[in-house]
Amino acid sequence: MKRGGASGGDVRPVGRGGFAGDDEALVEALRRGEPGAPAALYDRHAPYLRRVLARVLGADDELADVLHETFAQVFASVESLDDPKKLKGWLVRVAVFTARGVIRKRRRKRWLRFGAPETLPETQVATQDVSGRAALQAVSLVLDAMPEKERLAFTLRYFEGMQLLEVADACDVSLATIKRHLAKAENRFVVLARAQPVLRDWLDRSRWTEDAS
Amino acid sequence: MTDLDPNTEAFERLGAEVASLQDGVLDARNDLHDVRSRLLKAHKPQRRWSMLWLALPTAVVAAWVLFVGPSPDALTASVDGAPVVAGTWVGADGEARTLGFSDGSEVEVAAQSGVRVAALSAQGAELDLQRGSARVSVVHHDARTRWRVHAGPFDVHVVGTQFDVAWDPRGERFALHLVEGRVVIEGPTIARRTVEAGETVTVELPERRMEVVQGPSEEEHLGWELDPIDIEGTVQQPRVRTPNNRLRIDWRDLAREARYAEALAAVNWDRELATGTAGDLLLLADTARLGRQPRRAQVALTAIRTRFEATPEAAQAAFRLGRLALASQPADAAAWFERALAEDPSGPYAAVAAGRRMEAYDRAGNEIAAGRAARAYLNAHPRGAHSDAARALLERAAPAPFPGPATSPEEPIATVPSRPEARWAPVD
Repeated sequence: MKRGGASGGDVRPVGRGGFAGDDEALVEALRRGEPGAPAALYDRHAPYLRRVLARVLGADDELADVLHETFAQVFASVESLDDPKKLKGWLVRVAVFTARGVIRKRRRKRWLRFGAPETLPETQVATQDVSGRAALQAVSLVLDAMPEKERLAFTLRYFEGMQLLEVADACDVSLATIKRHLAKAENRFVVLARAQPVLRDWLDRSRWTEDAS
Repeated sequence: MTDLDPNTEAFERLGAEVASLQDGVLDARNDLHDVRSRLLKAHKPQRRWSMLWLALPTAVVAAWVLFVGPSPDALTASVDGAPVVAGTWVGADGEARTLGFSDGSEVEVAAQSGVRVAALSAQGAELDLQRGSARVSVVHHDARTRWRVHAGPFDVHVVGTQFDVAWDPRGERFALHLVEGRVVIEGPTIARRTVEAGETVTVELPERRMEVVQGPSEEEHLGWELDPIDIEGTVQQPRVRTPNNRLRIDWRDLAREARYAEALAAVNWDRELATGTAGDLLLLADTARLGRQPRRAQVALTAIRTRFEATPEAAQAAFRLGRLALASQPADAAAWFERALAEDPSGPYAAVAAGRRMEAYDRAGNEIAAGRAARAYLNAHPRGAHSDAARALLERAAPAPFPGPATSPEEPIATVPSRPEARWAPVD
């Protein structure tokens, strides 16, 4: 089941740019260069794509820049979309592709971050909810240690709640491949989570659930 | 099959909790509007028919740019109408000077300040504010616009914005006031932080103090009194160029690009050891370690221990000295891990230091200390990364002759040399 509260609704308008047509009409309008089409596309799909990016990368400060980059890619390559009816799936693929680049860039820079405190979402919500903040940090540390393919499969499947076929489509791989990545990711996540005290409760409860079943 | 895995339910439960927390964070933000306005300002759709009408003149202009005009690959820069290239140092001794760029961006270098144009590219420029202050006004053209300003150990990532930035190398003070737009700062004590319009960030490294205030820039924030500029002349073109046409200006840039050998060749070793910040010295130590010069890494870390005593960086240096000594001098390594734990018992490396301490005693053949370190580790981190090794060590060890009370991970396991720092000879 897909996650998402008020921030993640698929059609919540952000402001101006109303557009009455469906996604297919929207793509055609974008290709024709209609002035209101980019805003309409953004208003219609930005909340969902931001949510997907947050699931994969964490809701950190860089998220806005990654969302910006994602839409810049979308506007630049909308001509390459084969089937305008499948706009949403294509947008998710672009977002995941952009997120993958960010993960790689962060990994290259990681060795320079020794000694620096781990970055956390700098928001009022995060600072008020200390236990939630610690949990997000612990999950982020675990995800940072996972290979990128496993991280993508795991976060889209469990954090965003996508079905396996949707995850495979978003990652642009076969169903069999995504199952393989997910199985590895599950094992690795449990191993890595053991090193995070905040996640021990969750691990303990998981074991209890498993024993009880 | 994955869906039938008994842990699936647990993963879904965790996923729901994470998603709920993230949604709370996202709800508290207003960045959707910011991205929208930035994005749509940059994206001006062209109608297809107008592109046809423009095709011929566009082709002519493209041909001119390609064969006659300036390279479209990189911005150009000038000072008082005179062109400058990457690597040029621009100093303002008596009064402010303006550095102009071909995309309309401007940098006003304040009096008694110096800026080096580190690199010019199609997407923007890299500037190295070596001292003093500057007002940076970057024109945002499209999503690819990327400017960076280095100010000592701080990096400011810019997309399109206007801000004042200052760096006092002697007092190790950094300040930034954002007039409009949004930037991200990376550096010691602040890790990575987004600065919003109207905010002023000041960092005083010696006191490890960071302050963020809302409101207009106050003169005292960005107007430190600096000594008169000590370089004759105000514009110095680069003398040495690298093969890729970029000047070797700062060892830190080379280190960040993983060019360790070049970074180590470029660094003024004595000056960094004497005046570098703790963050710089940690970077230098890592650069030396990755550049296969472990003795130099030891010297940089020892300098941190001497100059930044009783700070978290000093404890980190102790931990890293332990890592360096672990293979060849495990007894010394154990002493360093003891120090790291004693000085920062709850620091980010505490668990790893406790595990490595056990390993170091084991390698040194000190079975009793290793056994006690293993028990201390398991008490504090029963599921830690070294817990399996600790259990294995206890299983193969003979029963400890002096069981005694459980040892906390911070409590020394064995006698610590009073000044292990003295063991490292300086490197010339």
